[in-house]
Amino acid sequence: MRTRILITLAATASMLFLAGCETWLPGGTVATSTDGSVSMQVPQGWMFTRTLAGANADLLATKDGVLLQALTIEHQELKDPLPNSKRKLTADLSPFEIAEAVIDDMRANREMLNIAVKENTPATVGGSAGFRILVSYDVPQPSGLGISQMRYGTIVGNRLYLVTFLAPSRHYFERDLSEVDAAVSSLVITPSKAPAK
Amino acid sequence: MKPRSSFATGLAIAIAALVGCQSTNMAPIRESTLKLEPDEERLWARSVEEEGALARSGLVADLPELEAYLTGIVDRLHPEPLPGGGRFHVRVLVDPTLNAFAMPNGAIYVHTGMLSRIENEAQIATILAHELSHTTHRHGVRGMRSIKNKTAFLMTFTVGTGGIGGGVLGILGAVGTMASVSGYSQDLEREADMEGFKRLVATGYDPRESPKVFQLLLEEAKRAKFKEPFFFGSHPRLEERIASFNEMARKFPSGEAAGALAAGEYERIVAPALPLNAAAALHAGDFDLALANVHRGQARTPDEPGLGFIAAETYRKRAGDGDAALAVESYARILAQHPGFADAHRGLGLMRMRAGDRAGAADSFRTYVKLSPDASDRAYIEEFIKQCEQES
Repeated sequence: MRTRILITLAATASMLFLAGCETWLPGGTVATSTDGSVSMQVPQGWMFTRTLAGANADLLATKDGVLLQALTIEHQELKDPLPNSKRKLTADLSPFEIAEAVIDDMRANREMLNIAVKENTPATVGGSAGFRILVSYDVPQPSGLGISQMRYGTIVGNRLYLVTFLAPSRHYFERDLSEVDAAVSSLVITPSKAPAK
Repeated sequence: MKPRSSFATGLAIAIAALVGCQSTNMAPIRESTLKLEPDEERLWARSVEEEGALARSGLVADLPELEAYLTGIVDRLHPEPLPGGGRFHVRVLVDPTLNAFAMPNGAIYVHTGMLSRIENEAQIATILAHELSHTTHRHGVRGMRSIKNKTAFLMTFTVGTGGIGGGVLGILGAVGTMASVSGYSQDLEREADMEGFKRLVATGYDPRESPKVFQLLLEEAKRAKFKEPFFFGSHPRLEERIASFNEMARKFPSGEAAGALAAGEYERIVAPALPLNAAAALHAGDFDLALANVHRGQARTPDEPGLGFIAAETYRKRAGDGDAALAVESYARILAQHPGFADAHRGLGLMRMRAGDRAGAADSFRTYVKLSPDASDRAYIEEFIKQCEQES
Protein backbone atom coordinates (compact mmCIF):
# COMPACT_ATOMS: atom_id res chain seq x y z
CA MET A 1 0.00 0.00 0.00
CA ARG A 2 2.84 2.33 0.80
CA THR A 3 4.30 1.83 -2.64
CA ARG A 4 0.99 2.65 -4.25
CA ILE A 5 0.61 5.75 -2.14
CA LEU A 6 4.10 6.81 -3.09
CA ILE A 7 3.42 6.29 -6.77
CA THR A 8 0.34 8.49 -6.46
CA LEU A 9 2.36 11.03 -4.53
CA ALA A 10 5.12 10.85 -7.09
CA ALA A 11 2.77 11.56 -9.97
CA THR A 12 1.19 14.47 -8.14
CA ALA A 13 4.47 15.83 -6.94
CA SER A 14 6.05 15.61 -10.38
CA MET A 15 3.17 17.55 -11.90
CA LEU A 16 3.48 20.22 -9.28
CA PHE A 17 7.23 20.42 -9.76
CA LEU A 18 6.68 20.95 -13.46
CA ALA A 19 4.01 23.54 -12.82
CA GLY A 20 6.26 25.42 -10.43
CA CYS A 21 3.59 25.18 -7.75
CA GLU A 22 4.32 26.80 -4.42
CA THR A 23 3.16 23.70 -2.54
CA TRP A 24 6.77 22.55 -2.39
CA LEU A 25 9.09 24.64 -0.30
CA PRO A 26 12.89 24.63 -0.19
CA GLY A 27 14.69 22.88 2.68
CA GLY A 28 17.42 24.31 4.86
CA THR A 29 14.75 25.47 7.25
CA VAL A 30 12.48 24.16 9.99
CA ALA A 31 9.30 22.70 8.52
CA THR A 32 6.23 22.57 10.70
CA SER A 33 3.15 20.48 9.98
CA THR A 34 -0.11 22.29 9.29
CA ASP A 35 -1.50 21.44 12.73
CA GLY A 36 1.72 22.54 14.41
CA SER A 37 2.29 19.23 16.16
CA VAL A 38 5.44 18.24 14.30
CA SER A 39 8.47 20.21 13.19
CA MET A 40 11.81 19.18 11.74
CA GLN A 41 14.87 20.77 10.19
CA VAL A 42 14.70 19.82 6.52
CA PRO A 43 18.19 19.36 5.04
CA GLN A 44 19.61 21.96 2.71
CA GLY A 45 19.00 21.00 -0.91
CA TRP A 46 15.81 19.10 -0.13
CA MET A 47 12.21 20.17 -0.77
CA PHE A 48 9.25 19.61 1.51
CA THR A 49 5.50 19.87 1.48
CA ARG A 50 2.83 19.93 4.15
CA THR A 51 -0.18 19.65 1.90
CA LEU A 52 0.59 16.64 -0.30
CA ALA A 53 1.53 14.27 2.43
CA GLY A 54 -1.85 12.58 2.87
CA ALA A 55 -4.55 12.29 5.51
CA ASN A 56 -2.39 11.15 8.41
CA ALA A 57 0.90 12.48 7.14
CA ASP A 58 2.44 15.63 8.51
CA LEU A 59 5.39 16.27 6.26
CA LEU A 60 6.87 14.90 3.07
CA ALA A 61 10.39 15.76 1.96
CA THR A 62 12.61 14.70 -0.91
CA LYS A 63 15.90 15.64 -2.48
CA ASP A 64 15.68 14.37 -6.06
CA GLY A 65 11.95 13.65 -6.31
CA VAL A 66 9.82 11.15 -4.45
CA LEU A 67 10.46 8.44 -7.03
CA LEU A 68 14.06 8.42 -5.83
CA GLN A 69 13.71 9.09 -2.15
CA ALA A 70 10.97 10.12 0.25
CA LEU A 71 11.05 11.13 3.87
CA THR A 72 7.62 11.22 5.50
CA ILE A 73 6.41 11.97 8.97
CA GLU A 74 3.00 10.55 9.71
CA HIS A 75 0.89 9.80 12.73
CA GLN A 76 -1.82 7.37 13.62
CA GLU A 77 -4.33 7.49 16.46
CA LEU A 78 -3.86 4.52 18.79
CA LYS A 79 -7.55 3.71 18.53
CA ASP A 80 -6.98 2.87 14.87
CA PRO A 81 -5.45 -0.49 13.90
CA LEU A 82 -2.18 -0.73 12.02
CA PRO A 83 -2.83 -0.70 8.28
CA ASN A 84 -1.79 -4.26 7.40
CA SER A 85 -1.88 -6.36 10.52
CA LYS A 86 -4.99 -4.66 11.91
CA ARG A 87 -3.36 -4.83 15.33
CA LYS A 88 -4.07 -2.01 17.78
CA LEU A 89 -1.31 -0.54 19.88
CA THR A 90 -1.57 0.85 23.39
CA ALA A 91 0.29 3.66 25.08
CA ASP A 92 1.80 1.33 27.68
CA LEU A 93 3.82 -0.66 25.15
CA SER A 94 7.58 -0.33 25.30
CA PRO A 95 9.46 0.99 22.26
CA PHE A 96 10.73 -2.55 21.68
CA GLU A 97 7.17 -3.90 21.61
CA ILE A 98 6.03 -1.10 19.32
CA ALA A 99 8.93 -1.82 16.98
CA GLU A 100 7.98 -5.50 16.95
CA ALA A 101 4.40 -4.62 16.04
CA VAL A 102 5.54 -2.25 13.29
CA ILE A 103 7.84 -4.93 11.86
CA ASP A 104 4.99 -7.46 11.94
CA ASP A 105 2.84 -4.93 10.13
CA MET A 106 5.50 -4.60 7.43
CA ARG A 107 5.68 -8.38 7.12
CA ALA A 108 1.92 -8.49 6.62
CA ASN A 109 2.20 -5.97 3.79
CA ARG A 110 2.22 -7.90 0.53
CA GLU A 111 3.74 -4.97 -1.27
CA MET A 112 6.93 -5.42 0.73
CA LEU A 113 8.39 -8.68 -0.56
CA ASN A 114 11.38 -10.65 0.70
CA ILE A 115 11.62 -8.29 3.65
CA ALA A 116 14.78 -8.45 5.78
CA VAL A 117 15.22 -6.60 9.07
CA LYS A 118 18.78 -5.27 9.19
CA GLU A 119 18.60 -3.28 12.42
CA ASN A 120 16.16 -2.67 15.22
CA THR A 121 17.66 -0.31 17.75
CA PRO A 122 16.48 2.07 20.47
CA ALA A 123 16.31 5.73 19.49
CA THR A 124 15.09 9.05 20.76
CA VAL A 125 12.37 10.31 18.45
CA GLY A 126 11.01 13.80 18.90
CA GLY A 127 12.29 13.81 22.47
CA SER A 128 10.59 10.52 23.38
CA ALA A 129 11.89 6.97 23.71
CA GLY A 130 11.36 5.19 20.43
CA PHE A 131 12.93 2.91 17.89
CA ARG A 132 14.85 2.92 14.63
CA ILE A 133 14.27 0.06 12.21
CA LEU A 134 16.24 -0.58 9.05
CA VAL A 135 14.75 -3.00 6.51
CA SER A 136 15.26 -3.97 2.90
CA TYR A 137 12.64 -5.44 0.60
CA ASP A 138 11.57 -5.81 -3.01
CA VAL A 139 8.58 -4.10 -4.53
CA PRO A 140 6.13 -6.17 -6.62
CA GLN A 141 6.30 -6.34 -10.37
CA PRO A 142 6.94 -4.89 -12.83
CA SER A 143 10.13 -3.29 -11.52
CA GLY A 144 10.98 -5.64 -8.67
CA LEU A 145 13.17 -2.82 -7.44
CA GLY A 146 15.13 -3.37 -4.23
CA ILE A 147 14.12 -0.80 -1.64
CA SER A 148 15.63 0.06 1.72
CA GLN A 149 13.60 1.71 4.40
CA MET A 150 14.53 3.33 7.67
CA ARG A 151 11.69 3.88 10.06
CA TYR A 152 11.77 5.75 13.32
CA GLY A 153 8.77 5.56 15.61
CA THR A 154 7.45 6.51 18.99
CA ILE A 155 4.20 6.87 20.85
CA VAL A 156 3.41 10.34 22.17
CA GLY A 157 0.08 10.81 23.89
CA ASN A 158 -2.50 8.82 21.98
CA ARG A 159 -0.62 8.84 18.73
CA LEU A 160 1.93 6.64 17.06
CA TYR A 161 4.38 8.80 15.13
CA LEU A 162 6.39 7.25 12.32
CA VAL A 163 9.23 8.84 10.39
CA THR A 164 9.94 6.83 7.28
CA PHE A 165 12.74 7.24 4.79
CA LEU A 166 12.69 4.99 1.77
CA ALA A 167 14.82 4.92 -1.34
CA PRO A 168 16.23 2.41 -3.82
CA SER A 169 18.82 0.31 -2.02
CA ARG A 170 21.24 0.98 -4.82
CA HIS A 171 22.99 4.35 -4.48
CA TYR A 172 20.29 6.60 -3.01
CA PHE A 173 19.55 5.04 0.37
CA GLU A 174 23.08 4.93 1.71
CA ARG A 175 23.94 8.29 0.17
CA ASP A 176 21.11 10.14 1.92
CA LEU A 177 20.77 8.22 5.18
CA SER A 178 23.11 10.38 7.27
CA GLU A 179 21.27 13.54 6.21
CA VAL A 180 18.00 11.91 7.16
CA ASP A 181 19.29 10.77 10.55
CA ALA A 182 20.45 14.33 11.22
CA ALA A 183 17.05 15.68 10.24
CA VAL A 184 15.27 13.21 12.51
CA SER A 185 17.45 14.26 15.43
CA SER A 186 15.93 17.74 15.07
CA LEU A 187 12.37 16.42 15.20
CA VAL A 188 10.05 18.00 17.74
CA ILE A 189 6.66 16.46 18.49
CA THR A 190 4.10 18.45 20.44
CA PRO A 191 0.82 16.60 20.06
CA SER A 192 -0.99 19.03 22.32
CA LYS A 193 -0.97 21.42 19.36
CA ALA A 194 -2.89 18.92 17.27
CA PRO A 195 -6.66 19.31 17.13
CA ALA A 196 -8.43 16.75 19.33
CA LYS A 197 -10.11 13.90 17.44
CA MET B 1 -8.09 -3.44 1.28
CA LYS B 2 -9.68 -1.78 -1.67
CA PRO B 3 -7.77 -1.55 -4.90
CA ARG B 4 -7.62 1.99 -6.11
CA SER B 5 -9.61 3.06 -9.11
CA SER B 6 -6.41 3.89 -10.97
CA PHE B 7 -5.34 0.29 -10.45
CA ALA B 8 -8.69 -0.88 -11.81
CA THR B 9 -8.36 1.39 -14.79
CA GLY B 10 -4.92 0.00 -15.47
CA LEU B 11 -6.27 -3.51 -15.31
CA ALA B 12 -9.10 -2.63 -17.66
CA ILE B 13 -6.64 -1.28 -20.18
CA ALA B 14 -4.37 -4.29 -19.76
CA ILE B 15 -7.21 -6.73 -20.27
CA ALA B 16 -8.66 -4.78 -23.15
CA ALA B 17 -5.28 -5.05 -24.81
CA LEU B 18 -5.23 -8.77 -24.21
CA VAL B 19 -8.59 -9.68 -25.69
CA GLY B 20 -10.58 -8.86 -28.76
CA CYS B 21 -14.35 -8.59 -29.17
CA GLN B 22 -15.12 -12.28 -29.57
CA SER B 23 -17.58 -14.94 -28.53
CA THR B 24 -17.71 -16.20 -24.97
CA ASN B 25 -19.13 -19.51 -26.18
CA MET B 26 -16.17 -21.83 -26.19
CA ALA B 27 -15.89 -25.58 -26.02
CA PRO B 28 -14.07 -26.90 -22.96
CA ILE B 29 -10.55 -28.23 -23.27
CA ARG B 30 -10.97 -31.94 -23.91
CA GLU B 31 -7.69 -32.83 -25.54
CA SER B 32 -4.15 -31.56 -25.76
CA THR B 33 -4.43 -30.95 -29.49
CA LEU B 34 -6.93 -28.14 -29.00
CA LYS B 35 -5.62 -24.95 -30.57
CA LEU B 36 -5.86 -21.90 -28.38
CA GLU B 37 -7.35 -18.78 -29.87
CA PRO B 38 -4.99 -15.82 -30.31
CA ASP B 39 -6.25 -13.82 -27.35
CA GLU B 40 -6.19 -16.97 -25.26
CA GLU B 41 -2.57 -17.59 -26.23
CA ARG B 42 -1.75 -14.10 -25.00
CA LEU B 43 -3.50 -14.85 -21.72
CA TRP B 44 -1.47 -18.03 -21.31
CA ALA B 45 1.73 -16.16 -22.03
CA ARG B 46 0.73 -13.53 -19.51
CA SER B 47 0.01 -16.25 -16.98
CA VAL B 48 3.55 -17.54 -17.34
CA GLU B 49 4.88 -14.04 -16.67
CA GLU B 50 2.74 -13.71 -13.57
CA GLU B 51 3.88 -17.12 -12.37
CA GLY B 52 7.41 -15.78 -12.62
CA ALA B 53 6.50 -12.72 -10.57
CA LEU B 54 4.99 -14.91 -7.89
CA ALA B 55 8.05 -17.16 -7.88
CA ARG B 56 10.26 -14.12 -7.25
CA SER B 57 7.97 -12.71 -4.57
CA GLY B 58 9.24 -14.93 -1.79
CA LEU B 59 5.65 -15.97 -1.10
CA VAL B 60 5.83 -19.38 -2.77
CA ALA B 61 6.44 -21.97 -0.08
CA ASP B 62 9.42 -24.26 -0.47
CA LEU B 63 7.43 -27.41 0.25
CA PRO B 64 8.11 -29.83 -2.62
CA GLU B 65 6.38 -32.80 -0.99
CA LEU B 66 3.21 -30.82 -0.40
CA GLU B 67 3.29 -29.41 -3.94
CA ALA B 68 3.80 -32.89 -5.38
CA TYR B 69 0.93 -34.20 -3.28
CA LEU B 70 -1.45 -31.47 -4.40
CA THR B 71 -0.33 -31.81 -8.02
CA GLY B 72 -0.88 -35.55 -7.71
CA ILE B 73 -4.48 -34.96 -6.62
CA VAL B 74 -4.99 -32.72 -9.65
CA ASP B 75 -3.43 -35.36 -11.91
CA ARG B 76 -5.96 -37.88 -10.66
CA LEU B 77 -8.80 -35.41 -11.07
CA HIS B 78 -7.63 -34.47 -14.56
CA PRO B 79 -5.24 -37.05 -16.07
CA GLU B 80 -5.34 -35.56 -19.56
CA PRO B 81 -2.61 -33.17 -20.71
CA LEU B 82 -3.44 -29.56 -21.46
CA PRO B 83 -3.10 -27.94 -24.89
CA GLY B 84 0.54 -27.95 -25.88
CA GLY B 85 1.18 -31.02 -23.75
CA GLY B 86 1.57 -29.19 -20.44
CA ARG B 87 -0.01 -30.33 -17.20
CA PHE B 88 -1.62 -28.72 -14.22
CA HIS B 89 0.81 -27.82 -11.46
CA VAL B 90 0.05 -26.63 -7.96
CA ARG B 91 2.03 -24.10 -5.92
CA VAL B 92 1.53 -23.11 -2.29
CA LEU B 93 1.54 -19.45 -1.32
CA VAL B 94 2.37 -18.44 2.25
CA ASP B 95 -0.63 -16.27 2.93
CA PRO B 96 -3.09 -16.67 5.80
CA THR B 97 -6.08 -15.57 3.74
CA LEU B 98 -8.64 -18.07 2.52
CA ASN B 99 -7.93 -18.43 -1.13
CA ALA B 100 -7.04 -20.62 -4.07
CA PHE B 101 -6.96 -19.69 -7.73
CA ALA B 102 -6.07 -21.08 -11.14
CA MET B 103 -4.32 -19.28 -13.95
CA PRO B 104 -5.64 -19.93 -17.48
CA ASN B 105 -2.55 -22.01 -18.31
CA GLY B 106 -3.11 -24.57 -15.55
CA ALA B 107 -1.03 -23.09 -12.74
CA ILE B 108 -3.02 -23.49 -9.54
CA TYR B 109 -2.14 -21.60 -6.36
CA VAL B 110 -3.41 -22.55 -2.92
CA HIS B 111 -2.84 -20.33 0.10
CA THR B 112 -1.52 -21.84 3.32
CA GLY B 113 -4.53 -20.13 4.88
CA MET B 114 -6.78 -22.44 2.89
CA LEU B 115 -4.72 -25.57 3.53
CA SER B 116 -4.64 -24.88 7.25
CA ARG B 117 -8.43 -24.86 7.50
CA ILE B 118 -9.12 -27.93 5.36
CA GLU B 119 -9.57 -31.24 7.16
CA ASN B 120 -8.85 -33.95 4.61
CA GLU B 121 -7.89 -34.81 1.06
CA ALA B 122 -11.46 -35.01 -0.17
CA GLN B 123 -12.00 -31.43 0.91
CA ILE B 124 -8.88 -30.03 -0.74
CA ALA B 125 -9.78 -32.08 -3.82
CA THR B 126 -13.07 -30.16 -3.88
CA ILE B 127 -11.15 -26.90 -4.05
CA LEU B 128 -8.68 -28.18 -6.65
CA ALA B 129 -11.42 -29.70 -8.82
CA HIS B 130 -13.24 -26.37 -8.81
CA GLU B 131 -10.10 -24.47 -9.69
CA LEU B 132 -8.96 -26.76 -12.49
CA SER B 133 -12.43 -26.46 -14.02
CA HIS B 134 -11.80 -22.74 -14.46
CA THR B 135 -8.90 -23.72 -16.69
CA THR B 136 -10.53 -26.63 -18.56
CA HIS B 137 -13.60 -24.53 -19.26
CA ARG B 138 -11.48 -21.59 -20.35
CA HIS B 139 -13.00 -19.20 -17.88
CA GLY B 140 -10.05 -16.85 -18.10
CA VAL B 141 -10.56 -15.89 -21.70
CA ARG B 142 -14.36 -16.25 -21.54
CA GLY B 143 -14.53 -14.05 -18.48
CA MET B 144 -12.30 -11.42 -19.94
CA ARG B 145 -14.19 -11.37 -23.22
CA SER B 146 -17.51 -11.01 -21.47
CA ILE B 147 -16.46 -8.17 -19.22
CA LYS B 148 -14.63 -6.23 -21.87
CA ASN B 149 -16.24 -2.85 -22.44
CA LYS B 150 -18.68 -3.32 -19.60
CA THR B 151 -18.68 -0.45 -17.18
CA ALA B 152 -19.39 -2.96 -14.43
CA PHE B 153 -15.90 -4.29 -15.00
CA LEU B 154 -14.35 -1.37 -13.22
CA MET B 155 -16.62 -1.98 -10.28
CA THR B 156 -15.46 -5.58 -10.08
CA PHE B 157 -12.10 -4.42 -8.92
CA THR B 158 -13.31 -1.92 -6.38
CA VAL B 159 -15.24 -4.47 -4.34
CA GLY B 160 -13.62 -5.03 -0.96
CA THR B 161 -11.62 -8.18 -0.94
CA GLY B 162 -11.40 -8.64 2.79
CA GLY B 163 -8.86 -10.90 4.40
CA ILE B 164 -5.69 -10.18 6.19
CA GLY B 165 -2.82 -8.21 4.91
CA GLY B 166 -4.01 -7.45 1.43
CA GLY B 167 -3.31 -10.90 0.01
CA VAL B 168 -1.29 -11.16 -3.15
CA LEU B 169 -2.89 -8.18 -4.84
CA GLY B 170 0.33 -6.30 -5.15
CA ILE B 171 2.12 -9.09 -6.99
CA LEU B 172 -0.48 -10.34 -9.41
CA GLY B 173 -1.07 -8.81 -12.78
CA ALA B 174 -4.32 -8.60 -14.70
CA VAL B 175 -4.77 -12.34 -15.20
CA GLY B 176 -3.98 -13.40 -11.68
CA THR B 177 -6.06 -10.61 -10.20
CA MET B 178 -9.09 -11.81 -12.06
CA ALA B 179 -8.51 -15.42 -11.05
CA SER B 180 -7.58 -14.65 -7.48
CA VAL B 181 -9.39 -11.57 -6.37
CA SER B 182 -12.43 -10.65 -8.36
CA GLY B 183 -13.44 -14.15 -9.37
CA TYR B 184 -15.58 -14.99 -12.32
CA SER B 185 -19.22 -14.39 -13.11
CA GLN B 186 -21.95 -16.25 -11.30
CA ASP B 187 -22.48 -18.56 -14.27
CA LEU B 188 -18.81 -19.43 -14.61
CA GLU B 189 -18.44 -20.07 -10.88
CA ARG B 190 -21.47 -22.37 -10.97
CA GLU B 191 -20.05 -24.17 -13.97
CA ALA B 192 -16.75 -24.66 -12.12
CA ASP B 193 -18.64 -25.96 -9.09
CA MET B 194 -20.61 -28.48 -11.15
CA GLU B 195 -17.78 -29.63 -13.40
CA GLY B 196 -15.44 -29.86 -10.48
CA PHE B 197 -17.93 -31.87 -8.50
CA LYS B 198 -18.36 -34.36 -11.34
CA ARG B 199 -14.62 -34.91 -11.51
CA LEU B 200 -14.43 -35.24 -7.74
CA VAL B 201 -17.03 -38.01 -7.70
CA ALA B 202 -15.57 -39.71 -10.78
CA THR B 203 -12.18 -39.81 -9.06
CA GLY B 204 -13.65 -41.52 -6.02
CA TYR B 205 -13.67 -38.80 -3.40
CA ASP B 206 -16.51 -38.66 -0.92
CA PRO B 207 -18.96 -36.07 -2.27
CA ARG B 208 -20.33 -35.42 1.20
CA GLU B 209 -17.12 -33.61 2.05
CA SER B 210 -17.73 -30.87 -0.52
CA PRO B 211 -20.42 -28.93 1.36
CA LYS B 212 -18.33 -29.30 4.51
CA VAL B 213 -15.55 -27.33 2.85
CA PHE B 214 -17.80 -24.36 2.37
CA GLN B 215 -19.30 -24.74 5.83
CA LEU B 216 -15.79 -24.65 7.31
CA LEU B 217 -14.96 -21.59 5.30
CA LEU B 218 -18.20 -19.90 6.28
CA GLU B 219 -17.42 -20.45 9.95
CA GLU B 220 -13.93 -19.09 9.44
CA ALA B 221 -15.27 -16.09 7.59
CA LYS B 222 -17.58 -15.33 10.51
CA ARG B 223 -14.78 -15.76 13.03
CA ALA B 224 -12.43 -13.45 11.21
CA LYS B 225 -15.29 -11.09 10.28
CA PHE B 226 -14.34 -11.17 6.63
CA LYS B 227 -16.67 -9.23 4.42
CA GLU B 228 -15.81 -11.15 1.28
CA PRO B 229 -13.46 -14.10 1.73
CA PHE B 230 -11.43 -14.45 -1.41
CA PHE B 231 -12.35 -17.92 -2.48
CA PHE B 232 -16.07 -17.38 -2.33
CA GLY B 233 -16.10 -13.63 -2.65
CA SER B 234 -17.70 -13.91 -6.07
CA HIS B 235 -21.17 -15.13 -6.88
CA PRO B 236 -22.89 -17.39 -6.11
CA ARG B 237 -22.49 -16.50 -2.51
CA LEU B 238 -21.36 -18.96 0.08
CA GLU B 239 -24.70 -20.01 1.51
CA GLU B 240 -26.00 -20.71 -1.98
CA ARG B 241 -22.96 -22.82 -2.69
CA ILE B 242 -23.43 -24.87 0.45
CA ALA B 243 -27.03 -25.56 -0.55
CA SER B 244 -25.97 -26.33 -4.09
CA PHE B 245 -23.25 -28.78 -3.01
CA ASN B 246 -25.61 -30.46 -0.55
CA GLU B 247 -28.07 -30.97 -3.39
CA MET B 248 -25.38 -32.40 -5.66
CA ALA B 249 -24.04 -34.64 -2.89
CA ARG B 250 -27.50 -36.11 -2.37
CA LYS B 251 -27.48 -37.24 -6.00
CA PHE B 252 -24.14 -38.98 -5.50
CA PRO B 253 -24.47 -40.77 -2.16
CA SER B 254 -21.70 -43.30 -2.78
CA GLY B 255 -18.22 -42.05 -1.91
CA GLU B 256 -17.06 -45.40 -0.67
CA ALA B 257 -13.92 -45.60 -2.75
CA ALA B 258 -10.74 -46.37 -0.89
CA GLY B 259 -8.94 -43.25 0.19
CA ALA B 260 -12.02 -41.12 -0.33
CA LEU B 261 -11.21 -39.00 2.69
CA ALA B 262 -7.50 -39.67 3.27
CA ALA B 263 -7.57 -37.49 6.37
CA GLY B 264 -4.47 -39.00 7.96
CA GLU B 265 -2.36 -38.62 4.85
CA TYR B 266 -3.55 -35.04 4.40
CA GLU B 267 -2.69 -34.20 7.99
CA ARG B 268 0.82 -35.55 7.58
CA ILE B 269 1.50 -33.83 4.28
CA VAL B 270 0.08 -30.45 5.24
CA ALA B 271 1.95 -30.35 8.57
CA PRO B 272 4.96 -28.34 7.25
CA ALA B 273 2.60 -25.63 5.99
CA LEU B 274 1.10 -25.07 9.44
CA PRO B 275 4.04 -23.24 11.05
CA LEU B 276 4.41 -21.09 7.93
CA ASN B 277 0.77 -20.11 8.10
CA ALA B 278 0.87 -19.68 11.86
CA ALA B 279 3.82 -17.28 11.53
CA ALA B 280 2.06 -15.35 8.77
CA ALA B 281 -1.08 -15.15 10.91
CA LEU B 282 0.99 -13.95 13.85
CA HIS B 283 2.52 -11.19 11.73
CA ALA B 284 -0.94 -10.30 10.52
CA GLY B 285 -2.19 -9.97 14.09
CA ASP B 286 -4.59 -12.92 13.83
CA PHE B 287 -3.55 -14.52 17.10
CA ASP B 288 -6.44 -17.00 17.22
CA LEU B 289 -5.59 -18.40 13.79
CA ALA B 290 -1.90 -18.63 14.71
CA LEU B 291 -2.72 -20.63 17.82
CA ALA B 292 -5.24 -22.83 16.01
CA ASN B 293 -2.54 -23.76 13.48
CA VAL B 294 0.00 -24.38 16.24
CA HIS B 295 -2.36 -26.64 18.14
CA ARG B 296 -3.22 -28.58 15.00
CA GLY B 297 0.46 -29.10 14.27
CA GLN B 298 1.25 -30.00 17.86
CA ALA B 299 -1.37 -32.72 17.78
CA ARG B 300 1.03 -34.57 15.46
CA THR B 301 4.38 -33.26 16.69
CA PRO B 302 3.94 -31.88 20.22
CA ASP B 303 7.63 -31.11 20.73
CA GLU B 304 8.35 -29.40 17.43
CA PRO B 305 10.24 -26.27 18.58
CA GLY B 306 9.15 -24.04 15.70
CA LEU B 307 5.48 -24.51 16.57
CA GLY B 308 6.17 -24.05 20.27
CA PHE B 309 8.03 -20.83 19.58
CA ILE B 310 5.17 -19.39 17.51
CA ALA B 311 2.78 -20.28 20.34
CA ALA B 312 5.03 -18.57 22.89
CA GLU B 313 5.42 -15.47 20.73
CA THR B 314 1.68 -15.34 20.15
CA TYR B 315 0.93 -15.49 23.86
CA ARG B 316 3.56 -12.84 24.56
CA LYS B 317 2.25 -10.45 21.91
CA ARG B 318 -1.43 -11.07 22.62
CA ALA B 319 -0.84 -10.33 26.30
CA GLY B 320 -4.32 -11.29 27.39
CA ASP B 321 -5.45 -12.81 30.68
CA GLY B 322 -3.30 -15.82 31.46
CA ASP B 323 -1.12 -15.35 28.39
CA ALA B 324 2.00 -14.44 30.40
CA ALA B 325 2.06 -17.80 32.14
CA LEU B 326 1.40 -19.63 28.89
CA ALA B 327 4.20 -17.74 27.15
CA VAL B 328 6.71 -18.48 29.92
CA GLU B 329 5.68 -22.13 29.97
CA SER B 330 6.03 -22.39 26.18
CA TYR B 331 9.48 -20.77 26.11
CA ALA B 332 10.64 -22.92 29.01
CA ARG B 333 9.43 -26.11 27.32
CA ILE B 334 11.35 -25.27 24.14
CA LEU B 335 14.52 -24.45 26.05
CA ALA B 336 14.35 -27.62 28.10
CA GLN B 337 14.78 -29.60 24.88
CA HIS B 338 16.59 -27.06 22.72
CA PRO B 339 18.81 -24.91 24.94
CA GLY B 340 20.45 -23.35 21.87
CA PHE B 341 17.19 -21.82 20.62
CA ALA B 342 18.34 -18.18 20.83
CA ASP B 343 15.03 -16.44 20.14
CA ALA B 344 13.33 -18.42 22.91
CA HIS B 345 15.90 -17.02 25.38
CA ARG B 346 15.05 -13.50 24.22
CA GLY B 347 11.31 -14.14 24.58
CA LEU B 348 11.78 -15.62 28.04
CA GLY B 349 13.92 -12.62 28.98
CA LEU B 350 11.20 -10.22 27.86
CA MET B 351 8.60 -12.09 29.90
CA ARG B 352 10.84 -12.16 32.96
CA MET B 353 11.51 -8.45 32.62
CA ARG B 354 7.78 -7.81 32.34
CA ALA B 355 7.25 -9.82 35.53
CA GLY B 356 9.96 -7.88 37.42
CA ASP B 357 12.46 -10.76 37.51
CA ARG B 358 15.41 -8.58 36.56
CA ALA B 359 18.15 -11.09 37.38
CA GLY B 360 16.41 -13.84 35.45
CA ALA B 361 15.77 -11.51 32.52
CA ALA B 362 19.40 -10.40 32.37
CA ASP B 363 20.48 -14.02 32.40
CA SER B 364 18.18 -14.89 29.47
CA PHE B 365 19.25 -11.83 27.51
CA ARG B 366 22.94 -12.57 28.00
CA THR B 367 22.41 -16.08 26.67
CA TYR B 368 20.52 -14.69 23.69
CA VAL B 369 23.33 -12.28 22.78
CA LYS B 370 25.90 -15.03 23.20
CA LEU B 371 23.95 -17.39 20.94
CA SER B 372 22.99 -14.73 18.43
CA PRO B 373 25.76 -12.10 18.36
CA ASP B 374 24.64 -10.62 15.02
CA ALA B 375 20.98 -10.23 15.94
CA SER B 376 19.35 -7.13 14.44
CA ASP B 377 17.96 -6.18 17.85
CA ARG B 378 21.20 -6.68 19.78
CA ALA B 379 21.41 -2.99 20.77
CA TYR B 380 17.98 -3.26 22.41
CA ILE B 381 18.84 -6.41 24.27
CA GLU B 382 22.13 -5.01 25.54
CA GLU B 383 20.28 -1.98 26.83
CA PHE B 384 17.82 -4.29 28.58
CA ILE B 385 20.72 -6.14 30.20
CA LYS B 386 22.11 -2.86 31.55
CA GLN B 387 18.68 -1.85 32.87
CA CYS B 388 18.20 -5.20 34.57
CA GLU B 389 21.68 -5.17 36.11
CA GLN B 390 21.16 -1.67 37.48
CA GLU B 391 17.77 -2.48 38.95
CA SER B 392 18.48 -5.96 40.32
